[in-house]
This record gives sequence, C-alpha cells and structure tokens, in this order.
Amino acid sequence: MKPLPTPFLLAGRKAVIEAGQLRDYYLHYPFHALQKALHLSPAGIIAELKASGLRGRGGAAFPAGLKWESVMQQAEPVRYVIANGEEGEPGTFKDRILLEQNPLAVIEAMLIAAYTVKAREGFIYLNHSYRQIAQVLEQLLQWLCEDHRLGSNILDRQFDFDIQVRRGRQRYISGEETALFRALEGRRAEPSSRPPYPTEKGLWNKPTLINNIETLSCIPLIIEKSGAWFAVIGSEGSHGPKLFCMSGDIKNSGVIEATMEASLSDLIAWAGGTLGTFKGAIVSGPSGRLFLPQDLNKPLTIQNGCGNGTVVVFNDTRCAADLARHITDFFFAEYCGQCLPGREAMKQVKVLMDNLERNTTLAPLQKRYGELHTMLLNNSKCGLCSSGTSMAPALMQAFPEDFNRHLQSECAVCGGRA
Amino acid sequence: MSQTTCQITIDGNALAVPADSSILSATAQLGIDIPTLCFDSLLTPEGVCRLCCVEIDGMHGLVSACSTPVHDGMQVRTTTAKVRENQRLILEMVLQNFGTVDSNDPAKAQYARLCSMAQAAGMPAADIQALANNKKVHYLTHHDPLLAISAERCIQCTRCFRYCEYLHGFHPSEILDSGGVRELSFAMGMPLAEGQCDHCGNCVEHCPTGALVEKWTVTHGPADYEAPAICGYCGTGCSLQVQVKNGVPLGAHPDVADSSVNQGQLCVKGRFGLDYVNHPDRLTKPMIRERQGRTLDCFREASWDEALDFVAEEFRQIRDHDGGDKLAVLSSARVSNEENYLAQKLARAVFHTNNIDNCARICHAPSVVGLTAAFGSGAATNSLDEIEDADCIMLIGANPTEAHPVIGHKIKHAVLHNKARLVVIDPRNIWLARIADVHLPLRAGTNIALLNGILHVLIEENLINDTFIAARTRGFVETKPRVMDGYDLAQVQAITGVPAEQIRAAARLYAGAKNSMIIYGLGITQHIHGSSNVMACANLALATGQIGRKHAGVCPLRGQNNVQGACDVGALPNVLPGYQKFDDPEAVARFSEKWHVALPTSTGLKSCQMIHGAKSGQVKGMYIIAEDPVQTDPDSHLVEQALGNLDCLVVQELFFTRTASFADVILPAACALEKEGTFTNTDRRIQHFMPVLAAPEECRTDMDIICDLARRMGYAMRYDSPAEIWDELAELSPILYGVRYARLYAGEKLVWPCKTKQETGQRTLHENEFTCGKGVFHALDYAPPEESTDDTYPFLLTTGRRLEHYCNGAMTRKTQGLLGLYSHERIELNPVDAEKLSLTDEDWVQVSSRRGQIRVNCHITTRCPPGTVFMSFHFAEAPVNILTGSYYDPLAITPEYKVTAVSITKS
Repeated sequence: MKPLPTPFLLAGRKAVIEAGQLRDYYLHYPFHALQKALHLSPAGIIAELKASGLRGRGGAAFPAGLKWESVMQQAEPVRYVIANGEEGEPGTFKDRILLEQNPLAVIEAMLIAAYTVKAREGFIYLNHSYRQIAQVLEQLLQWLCEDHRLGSNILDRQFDFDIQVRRGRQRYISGEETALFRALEGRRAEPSSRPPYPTEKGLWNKPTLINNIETLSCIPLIIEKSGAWFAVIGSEGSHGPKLFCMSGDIKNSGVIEATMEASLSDLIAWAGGTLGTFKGAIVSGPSGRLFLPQDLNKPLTIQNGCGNGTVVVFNDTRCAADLARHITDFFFAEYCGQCLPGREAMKQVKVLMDNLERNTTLAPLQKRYGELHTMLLNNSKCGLCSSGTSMAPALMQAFPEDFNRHLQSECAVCGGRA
Repeated sequence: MSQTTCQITIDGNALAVPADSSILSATAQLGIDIPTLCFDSLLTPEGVCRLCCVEIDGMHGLVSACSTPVHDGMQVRTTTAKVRENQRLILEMVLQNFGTVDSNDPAKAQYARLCSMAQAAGMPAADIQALANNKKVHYLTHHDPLLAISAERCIQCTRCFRYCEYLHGFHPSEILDSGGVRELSFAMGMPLAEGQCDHCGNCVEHCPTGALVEKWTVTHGPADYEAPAICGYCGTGCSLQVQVKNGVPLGAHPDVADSSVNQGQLCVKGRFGLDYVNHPDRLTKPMIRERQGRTLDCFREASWDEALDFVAEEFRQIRDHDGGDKLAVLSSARVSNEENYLAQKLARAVFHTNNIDNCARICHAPSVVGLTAAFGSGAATNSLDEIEDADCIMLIGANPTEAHPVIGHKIKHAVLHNKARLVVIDPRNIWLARIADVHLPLRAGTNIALLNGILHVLIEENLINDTFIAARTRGFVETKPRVMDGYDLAQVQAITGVPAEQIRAAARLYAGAKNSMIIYGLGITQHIHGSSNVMACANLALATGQIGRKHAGVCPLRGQNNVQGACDVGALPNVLPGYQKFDDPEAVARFSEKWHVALPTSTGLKSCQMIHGAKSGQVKGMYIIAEDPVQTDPDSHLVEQALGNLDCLVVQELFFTRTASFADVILPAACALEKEGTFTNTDRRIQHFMPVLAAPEECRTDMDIICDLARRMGYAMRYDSPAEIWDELAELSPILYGVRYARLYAGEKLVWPCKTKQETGQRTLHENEFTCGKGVFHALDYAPPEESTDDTYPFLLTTGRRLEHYCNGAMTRKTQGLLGLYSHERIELNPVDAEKLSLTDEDWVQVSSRRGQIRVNCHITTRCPPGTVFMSFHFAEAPVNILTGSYYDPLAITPEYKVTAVSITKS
C-alpha cells in the first residue's frame, strides 16, 4: 500500500464546531494569504492562480484562473462572489468537512476573490441541512466585521466586502450555479440558459464569481505558497490536493485527502479495503462515471473523471439493475421539469426502469435509454437530466447479466420482480 | 447599451445584427422560419421548449435560438440533420401527449399547427397520425367558470402566466413543483374566481398547444364561424371577432390588428359576456299592458301593428292635445349613431319637442359642459393609443381596470413597461393605486379643493408653463389669486384628508413629466360640482401646457359603448347633431329644410328633468329606448312614482327591466350583434359594424321601429339602410362632414372632427389652437357635497362598477360565465368599520339613507378607507339607487351618485 500523501487542506485540523474551540480557532487563524494577496495586484493574483493549474472542484473542473479573470474583465461594476456549498450530490460530504474544520479558509478565499474581482457582496450558499455550519459561519462573520476584516474599508485597504450566509431548499438542482442564483434571488431554483454565463450575467444579472467550497479552500494555499508550489502536486492537468469522499462497501467511510495521482485501489486501500468482492464504483456521484475492476489502477485524475471526488464502492452483493433503478428514481424526483425534453425524457426513463421486468430482452430498453440520453445531451436546457441519464446505460453495458436476471424472473440478488 | 453590431453567418448567409439580439431575431431577418412553442415576442425568452434549438459551429449540443444572444463570428446552422432530428423528437413528445383530435376538439387549430411543424421537420404524416394513438385527453372544467385546462396538453411553457405577469404585473396562476410532480395551478390552488384573476382571457391566446382554452370551446366545441363586431359594453370600443356556435355567440376573440383599439386584448365582458343574446328571457314579441281593474296589471303579447298603432295613437293624442313638449324621448348610449340620430329626429321633427336626451346626462354631461367651457370641445383630447407612451398619467376618479379594462391594460403597460409615472386620485385603493407613484385618497366629493391644491403647488413652485399660459389661455389672472389665497396645502389637507406632501409630489410629477395625461372618470363628474370638477382638471392642463399634443391632454373615460356617439349625433336637448347650436340660424335652417319641418324652439328637458316632469305632470308620454332609469337613476322611489304617473310609457328593450315593468307598451329590439351601424368610442373613433346574427323571432332593429313609429304618426321617415341615415347626418354636421358611410364600411379608421372627405380626422385635439380660440381658466371654489355624514348617517357611500358586470346587469347577468364570477352584490367596507359593527364577510346588512333602505351582503376589504363604503348598481336585488339622492350639478343636471350619507346596521 502506498503511503497517504501529506495533507494540506486538512493538515492538523479538527472540527472547530465544538463549543469553546471556535474563538480560539478564530484568534489563531493567521490570514497570511489575505495579507499577501492585498500586496499583489488583482492581475498578479490571477497570474498566480493560472500558474497553479487549479481547476474547479465542484465537478465541472473549469480552470479557476480563467473564471476569475473573466469576472474581473466585465464592464459592469457590480459583481458578486458566491461560495457554493449546496453539495447535494449523493455521497458527497467534503465541503461539510472543510467548513467544519477550516471555515476561515473559505472566507479568506472569498475576501481575496472580492479584492481581485472588485465585488462588494458575497454569499455562502449552504445545503439545507448544514444548519450548524451556518451558525458557525455567522459567528465568524460577526467577529470579522467587528475586527474590520469584513464590511467597509477592510484592513484600511479601501475595499468593502460583506458576506451573507444562506441555506438552500432541499433540492438537488439548486446546486447548479444558475439555479442557485435564482434561489438566492428568492425565486424558484431553476437553471437559466447559458450563454450568458454566470461570469457575465449571474446573480441579479450581474457578473458573478461562483466557486465550490473546496476550490475556495485551495486559494489561500496557492496565494501563501505560490502557484508553482501548487502545480507541482499531482499530475499534469490535475494539480493540487484533492478530497475524496469514500463511501459504500468499504471498511472506513470518510474523507481522504490525496493527490489526483492516486488510483481507485489506493483510495480503497487507505479506506480500509473493500467489504466483499469489488464489483464497481460510482465516481463523482450518480451522474458521474462508472469504474469497473479493470479501472482499479487508473489514477483518479480530472481527465479520468474524478469530478468532485466522490467514490461510492459497491460489491458483488449489489444488483446493478437495482442501482440503475435507484439512480433513475433519484433524478426523476429531482429534475426541475422546466424544459420540455428534460421533463418528458425523465418521465420516459422512469417508465422504462419501472417496467424493466415486462421486457423480454434488454436491447430495446438499453437503446431507448441511450437515445434519450443522447437527445438530452443535445437539447436540454441544463446538464442535470443529461448527466442524470448517463449512469444507467453504463450499468446496462457493464452488467447485462444483472438486468437479464430481472427479465426472466425474480432477481436473486436484490429481490426485484415484475 | 452599446449599439455595436455582430457579424454572423446563418446557413451560409453572412449578416450584421445588433450585438444584443438573439439568434432567433437574426434568423427572422433572413426570413428563416424556426419553429417555436414557448417563445413570445412580448416576453422574456425562457428557452424551455427547446424546439428552436440550432447548431452553432464549435459548440457541443444545440442551443436555443430564442434565448441565446449572438456573438461576433457566430456560425449558425438551422437545417442540419441534428437540428431537424431535435425538432422531430420535441414535437413527437408534444404530439404523443396530445391525444386524439376530432373535429370538435377545442385545440384543433393548435394541433394543425403542430402537425405542420412536424411535417416541416421531416416527420412522415403516417408517424404523426400514429402518435394520436386513440388516447383521450381531458379538460378540467370545474376549476373555473370560464377557462378550462388540459394537463396532458400543457407543455409548461409558462407563456400564459408570463403573459399575465407582463400584462397585469402579477400572475394568479403558477406551476406547482415538487420532485417529479409538476402541475399548473391557478391562484395558488384557489379557483381563479376567488383569486386575483381578471379573466381577461388573454392568456388563452398565448397558449401554443391549446391546453388552456375558453371553457365554452370544451363544452360546445369550436365556433361554427366568426364575425367581426364592436364590443357593446364600455366606451373603449374594442373590436371583436365574435365566435358563433349553433347560432349562439359563445364568446369573442380580440382583433389583433394594430389599427384596432384593443390591439389583441379583451376583457372578461367582451370575451365571455355575449351569450345574453340568446337568453330565454329575451323579449321577442311586442307587449301591451292589459289593465284589469285597479290592482292587477299584466302584459299581453301583441302584433307589431297593434303595438305601434297603439303607441302612435297615444303619442299623437298627447302631441295634438297637450303639445309636443308633453312628450319626451330618452334615447340610449347603447344603440347606434344612426338610431340616436333617428331618435332625436323623431323627437324634434315628429313630436315637435326638444325633450330628447340620453344617458350621458347621468354620467359625462359635466365633461361636455366643462371641457367645452375650457377648450371649446366636449370630448377626449387624445386617442387611446397615446396612453401607452405618456410620461405621466394622472388618473382621477376612475377605476379603469374594472370599468374600462382594456384602457386599464394600456395604463398598466405604460407604467410597468414604458416607465410612465402614475398618480391616482381616488378615495378607494383601486388596483392601479398599487402601482401608482402617488395615491391621493381624498375624501369623496372634495375634488375641487384637491385639484386647486395641486394648482396652488404648481404656481407656488413655479411649475407652470408661462409661455403657454400667455399665448394660448385666458383667465389665469383671475384664477391665480383664488387658488393662492384659499388653497394652501394645510387647508387642502384639512378638507381632503390627503397629506400635503403627497399633493406636492403629485403636482411635481404631473408638471415635471414631458407629456402628462389626465384621465378621469365618473368620480369627477357624478357630483353636484361635476362641471366645475372637470374645469378644475382642465385648469391643471392649461397651467402646465400639458395639452394640445400627442400623449398630453385631458381624457374622460366614457362609460358606454356609444355614449360619445349619442351626444355627437344630437340626442341632447340643447344642441342639434354635431353640437350645432339653436342660436345658429343657418344650422337651424339647414335642418328644417332637410327634415321639412320647423324645429321646436322651446328648451328641451334633460333626462333627470324629464323624470321630475313626469312626476309633476309636465311630461305625459315618454319613449325610453334601451334605458333603465328605475335602476340607474338616483332615488329610485322617485323614479318609480314618476313613471307610474305617465299617461303613456313606451320602453324599447332586450329584456324585461324594472323600467319595463312600468311601461304601457314594450317593444322588443334587436341587440348590437344583430344589426348594422356605427358606434363612436371614448376617443371619438367612429367604428362600423355588421350583424353577426339574425335577430330572434319578432325583434326589430331600433332604426326599423323608430321609422315605423314616425310613419304611423304621419311623418315620412324612410331609410333603406344605416348608410343613408349616416350620410344625411354627415351632410348636416360640419364636424362629421368628412366621415362618410362608404369610408367607414371600407374599414377606414376615422375620428371626428373630420371636416373633409380626404382627412381621417384629428386624433389629438387643440394642437395649435383651442376649438374656442384660447383655453379658458375657471376660478373655482370648493363647496362641500350636498350630503354630509352625521351621527345618524355616519358613512359615505360611493357607487361604481364591477369588472364582471355592466350597467343594470341586463346583459351581464344573463351570461352564465360572468354571473359565475360575481353572483351577487356586496357592499365593500373597511375592516375597521366592520369591526365596529361586528360584521364578518357576507353578513347581511341594512343600508339606509335619507331616502330609503336596502339589504345587501357585505364584503370586508381595505379597498375602501374607513368611513367610506362602496356599492355597484348592477343588481336589481340590491338597488343602490334607492339610497342615492337626486341632487344635481346645476350646469349639466347630472346627479351626485358619488356621495351619499348612509347608515349601516347588521340585519
């Protein structure tokens, strides 16, 4: 077993939420990165970010430097900075860990972002269930205001910034950037068409910098230790430390900080090994990628689809058809229903999976599911439904025997029957 | 926004388009037709149907053409296999849910459109057919009295409520959404009627799949044919396409032409309120009162010959024995210009009296008096089209969203989309007060004090237009000291109850805007100072020069479809057709010569004087055409006594009204949809209409009846068509000279004054000179209304209209849908007052005034301020005019409906 790389994001941290710890944590937080950033020009900060090769950790892996630069270059003077902590993807809990263990890194990153893109207002948008985290953040923000690290004329540097904490509704879709804007505006969380992109017209149609919590957590490291230092970690195109959320049929579920050079087998080993025989893993959530035994030694790079770093392992006691059905049901419950193809296709795939046992062969069902997925890739308004219909066809491809078992009689593995 | 252009290529054609345009608008420039469902040119594109998706070189997937802006160098492809495939897939999904469509399907037209789109996208006809798959779709009809929706056919494009939000600034319907279940709901799950929906029905026009339809199309199927008509309700004069099914006009669609008044919009009455035409209560045979002893009177059916001979004989007797001035004709704002012309000709040439009037007397006669005194012409100074681009609208004593809904839409549009400022002066919190910049809730009857107060501010802050005053007006010198001395804001606040700062704000808005319009209604005119109120409005326009150009002027909102026309063609006691005066010998000679009679010289009675005259015996015979004074004139008890006192009362009507019950002879008339003629709307536009239906049974047109009666009285009144009548009128009236029937028939949009056959008339009046030369200021003094509250009668009752009903309710209460929306009258009172009287909603109350008492349900609402209560006069069961007093404006003889002191007790 390879040794676990040195942690940076989670180095020496433990949850600060416990009573009495918070003030201590706040008083000892150095804000080195912020101080250093305030001596750099916005262009300098962006250069540093570009040099680091940091890509978005929310799943889409958009180069962070480019995003910041795009917002900075907008003509519109009013801009917003948003930290996206919606984290609705099943099996994902890294943002929670980061916010519990080092919330000030996120706030510090937002301050640096605000200084860079000249925003005066920021929001931290949290998952509905993160109530305690919201309270901690509120407390920290209050202290920061009292110490003139937030509010007007921060640290006598003639720049003003304010952060508000918001918790979302319990909807998967509100993690999508544009839906999140609508939610913040007090409207129904529904994605808008792109272009225009959030960097041009985001919250209240103003240029908006929106980053994942983990992405933001990397920023102080980059500023403090330089982009070049960050770029060295990991492999080409997949730089920096990454948090992996390990769950499913493994011994120790939890967050592991590693580099993206780590392979799936490394991660499983660090998590104490698989329970039973490894059958597959769903990486980056139910809309992500399926890893099979032959992929165990692939490094989980961005190119290989590490996405947001969620790894759900399943063993041979799991039926792939049951899994596909669960995933279909999940997206059927969570699609926003806004666009016509999304709505109709989600209804159709739900019917397909519900009526799985009525088929005599798998091929037509598999073909239809695939067709709908392709159509959604082409024409749906946002990416939710197209990504939501990608996993089931992959499972059919990989484990046809599981599905075939459902066609003939009662499934011995999951008990599903017609 | 920078006006740079982008160079783009669409299907190989290079073109330059403005940088902020969408791909869809760019393709439209090239004439490329991209199918759309959720796109609507008026609304913000949502891009949810994905039918308009096109391919952009260098992008994965497709993008929606409606919502994607162009960028420089964009290469758009609209006809690739991928695009077509997408169109087919989308339309397949839509058609799959559409179910079978038979010839009686309400969404037949939309289905045909979808099929042609599918064919254009390359879907074989057989496949389209196969999608119908014998599935039956359902329309939910129990949610709403007027609308029906099919959940299967709804594609949730949200056009209906996006349009509602656009038009009304809010939407009562909503898509309910919770994981996987999503359905259209109206008014937060409430039936629409209880919500805030106006039922204008304009959402129906915007539904691309026919999921949202008028309920009658579901219950009866689509119309057999449609025919153009002019709406017979308020004075807006909307053009309709009446939808006729099995001989019943079940509804109407709006005229979408830009040249029409309504430009694609309608209100609930115009769209849904036409089926009264076929109501079983319709009078279809002449009836004569059979006097049986002293108490029991009844009506029996008679032939036309018998009825008309009877009437002719009675009227001739009175005319020959007692003199023509013992007869009176009350003509109607509901019948055509031609018929009004005949009515006044009947009075003047056959009865030899000037006792001819119409119901303008009880609504806008003060406008005619006041505006004529100030400007020289008694009509609206601007056309309705000018409202939408006015910079400031001062709305006084009018509730257009209910009484003139399409004008209400125009004001909403001006405020919500064209950034017009809005000042609302009304005691009640009417809908438009919500979006008003300033709302001045004055105490009812204190208009002059308030308007003088505004003028005071204008002078004090030097917001007046000195050059305009000097060049184009007179009388300012006399007016100024009156206003400056007596109406400082502290005094005005004390009289009107409106905070001084708000008055100041309103004055600044009105004077500060580039073009300001005053729009007023009966809240100005139905007072004992009605004419003075109108002059006070005119003073503001004259002082600021906000008149005599486009988007600036003073516009009364005329209440009935042809009330303007009835006055124009001379159904007034004091003027001849075209407002020609009796002191003009040349005009009088012209009429005498044409009519072959000497014109009567006595002063005619005004309608309210006729009623008093009937009571005192000054009038013995009355001919009432389509009017119901018992219900609509003030002090009903007095009216009843007066009509009972007549020797001969002839009522020409559609239905058996309360007035008809006093008649000696009732003549069944054809309604507006059953005849040809012209109506003149509130902005002086003369509109021609043709019959949509045949009149039922023995009903005859008013024109036919009047001519027949005249002939039976020995006067040769013969016309073959309305055209002959109109052209005689035009020939005799200089202001209408250029308006010839042939031009109206050909569809020309003409307004008066139109003095030559070449021009189309002046839409904006007083452009370079006032009709009377210089505009006249009037120094006016406030005097309190005739009635004031006291311990016995502590509430001020003000009356008006409801959205769903009209006038005496004869028409609207005979239409199922409208009655379903608002079924009984309720007196509106403030929660504060309700608490004092320990009332809850719908409680019965007894309302008493110095003249009588009525029982009515109550409705507790903050629309009325404390101390003020409101009722409409539509319901015979709650006849509010039993309470109102017969106090009149001395100049116009218009009653004071708007201020009555009443008491309210729980009953």
